[in-house]
Amino acid sequence: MTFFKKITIVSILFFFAVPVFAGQVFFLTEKQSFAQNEEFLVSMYLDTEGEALNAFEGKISFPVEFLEEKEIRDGNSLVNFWVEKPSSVPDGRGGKSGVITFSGITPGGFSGEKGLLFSIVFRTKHSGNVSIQMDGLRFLKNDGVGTETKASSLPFSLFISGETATSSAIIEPIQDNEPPENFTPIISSDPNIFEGKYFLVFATQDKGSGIDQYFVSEDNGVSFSPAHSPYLLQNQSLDTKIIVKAVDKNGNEKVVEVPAKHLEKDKQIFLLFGILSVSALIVFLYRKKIWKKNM
Amino acid sequence: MSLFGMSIAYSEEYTATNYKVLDPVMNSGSYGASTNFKLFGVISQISTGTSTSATFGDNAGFLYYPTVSSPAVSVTPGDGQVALSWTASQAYVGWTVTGYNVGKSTASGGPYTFTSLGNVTSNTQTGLTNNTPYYFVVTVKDFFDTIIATSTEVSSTPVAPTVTPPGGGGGIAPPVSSGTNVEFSGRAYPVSKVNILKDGQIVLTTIAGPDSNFFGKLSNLSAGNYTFSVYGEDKNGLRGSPFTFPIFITAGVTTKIGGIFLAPTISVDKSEVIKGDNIIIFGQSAQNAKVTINVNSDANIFVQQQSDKNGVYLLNFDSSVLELGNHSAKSKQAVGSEISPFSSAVGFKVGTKNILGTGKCTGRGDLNSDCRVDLVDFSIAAYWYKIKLSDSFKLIEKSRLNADGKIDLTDFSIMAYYWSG
Repeated sequence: MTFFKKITIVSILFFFAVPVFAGQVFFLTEKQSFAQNEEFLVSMYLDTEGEALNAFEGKISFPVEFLEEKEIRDGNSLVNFWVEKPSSVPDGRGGKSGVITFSGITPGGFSGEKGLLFSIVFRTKHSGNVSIQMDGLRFLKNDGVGTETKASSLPFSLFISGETATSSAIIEPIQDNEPPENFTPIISSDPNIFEGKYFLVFATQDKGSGIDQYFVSEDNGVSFSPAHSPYLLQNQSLDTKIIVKAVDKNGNEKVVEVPAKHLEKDKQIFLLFGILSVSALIVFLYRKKIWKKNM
Repeated sequence: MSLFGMSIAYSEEYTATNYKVLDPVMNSGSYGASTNFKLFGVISQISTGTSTSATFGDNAGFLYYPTVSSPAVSVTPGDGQVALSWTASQAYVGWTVTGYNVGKSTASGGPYTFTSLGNVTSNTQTGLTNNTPYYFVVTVKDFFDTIIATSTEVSSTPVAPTVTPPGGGGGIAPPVSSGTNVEFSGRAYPVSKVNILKDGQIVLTTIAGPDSNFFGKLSNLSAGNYTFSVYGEDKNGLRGSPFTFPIFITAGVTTKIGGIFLAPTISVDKSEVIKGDNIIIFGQSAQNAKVTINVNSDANIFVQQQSDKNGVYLLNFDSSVLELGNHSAKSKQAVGSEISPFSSAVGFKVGTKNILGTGKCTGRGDLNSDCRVDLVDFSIAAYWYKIKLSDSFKLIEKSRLNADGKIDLTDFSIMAYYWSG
């Protein structure tokens, strides 16, 4: 191919090149060289490269011979609602497989260069060169049809030396003394889930340590059951208040109540009796007044 | 060509009895400039101007239509500094945003001292005097460093923080402080409901004034990353597109987010129109705003209208200029130098029959048909996530989501787009 043709082809490609928008994930940590038995924090960030993205999913893989996952921190994530909260996939033998999956959405979309997805606390085990991989990345545009954008991740490698870390080489838990944010659970029903029975939906955030778990009580707080949204209500009469407790990873609690939608049956009878009594009294007094007038 | 007092411009072709201009090119011309003026020249298309005669009116030039949205700006005071972040400007019809300037002044209205930045959406102004109010604007630049849009002015007073901010992902989570607040201000539609969402859930509803301006304040927040969305509901209950921005809230200070300029609401009176009949495109904007309506076809059609004192605009559009098939319409508005983003598009079909529209509820993402897309719909979808759909829910998924017979991330993305909270 002549030089002129090469230049022509390159020029044509240059003039017809179009920007390729993508989402890119990258890891940040304080250093990339560790001793054995040392804890470190890795944060996963997203650069949307100019696009507004509203749905995110993927898998993180790491070698369990070298790294142990101690904690996943999703407080302060750009993801507002998790479809699948970041969590370790079990290996089927009571341990962790070295895979962390996640999936979630941000209504309205996120656009930025450094959005925090979540962080992981690892503990190093044996010495060696280690890579943390990203697989199955999907980022969807905030365009109303869920157009998939080109997703990529920067490779992340670290080195674990033969030295053993001292006892001080741990990541301190987040000192979070604040409860999760206030929220309003909603009672709803839909013929397409739970056979049309009443269920409860709820979600909140915790900007400190992140939400750990929810609990629901339908007996005025006597007992609480672990719960996920949507939660099938045991009491379909809706005649007792419902208490929902959001607990963060430091044990701080936000407790909210949903008032009973209907009165309990004995209270209904009492109210009806009261209304009838008052009505009868009014009629009696009115007739007495008329009778006195006529006298 | 003049049609019912409005001019229609095609972005690709001008045609008249005696001439035709094909594929006019923007920005390949150059500038003529003097102390007092700058003349933009483009190949084969005259610059902004109006030609009239007894039989036609011609609003010529793509520069005639506002094509770059004004950024909304947030300011967070710090110790001798103010951190600014802003929404990326949306550019259309050949314009490209290549950078921003931050203007700073100690007097409202300027004059401003500008700092030139690249194509970034945040900047921290340092070396400021605590307890002195500063006033900021953000200007938008094109490839030639020409200013093509300007934000409204926002103000902030640097103060020494009272709470140590957290590190990223670890450390001490700061307490909720009664001084950790966020203020929102901007322009919606006259006397309209304005909803403010924090991380996808409605936390505040306010009413815009007769002048379309609104203000809202959230107090006692924790420091941290938030996603705020703002959208308006017009007098007919139509919801406008949300204005969404991520922001880090610093403890102990008031972050102000100003210059939020909501896109107009938009709807059509028919979901299908017989080719040659009129379809009404309508909605609400700020009062007396210049509303640009874009009808998407093989050629993009732009029509400009003035909304009335109640912000109402209405366009009787002749569908004879459209091909058979699916089309969409969206609108944006301009008041003075402020320009909103485009609204979400509303779809319609040009076909062989007239079918009246379904009203304010689009149905997309609304799995329980309550005219909202919120946590209840999300939970219903989560129930069916990655499991076989029932026959009845398949019908819902077909009409409200992406009709692929399953619930996966794409369906959640559709819900996230149509989210109302």
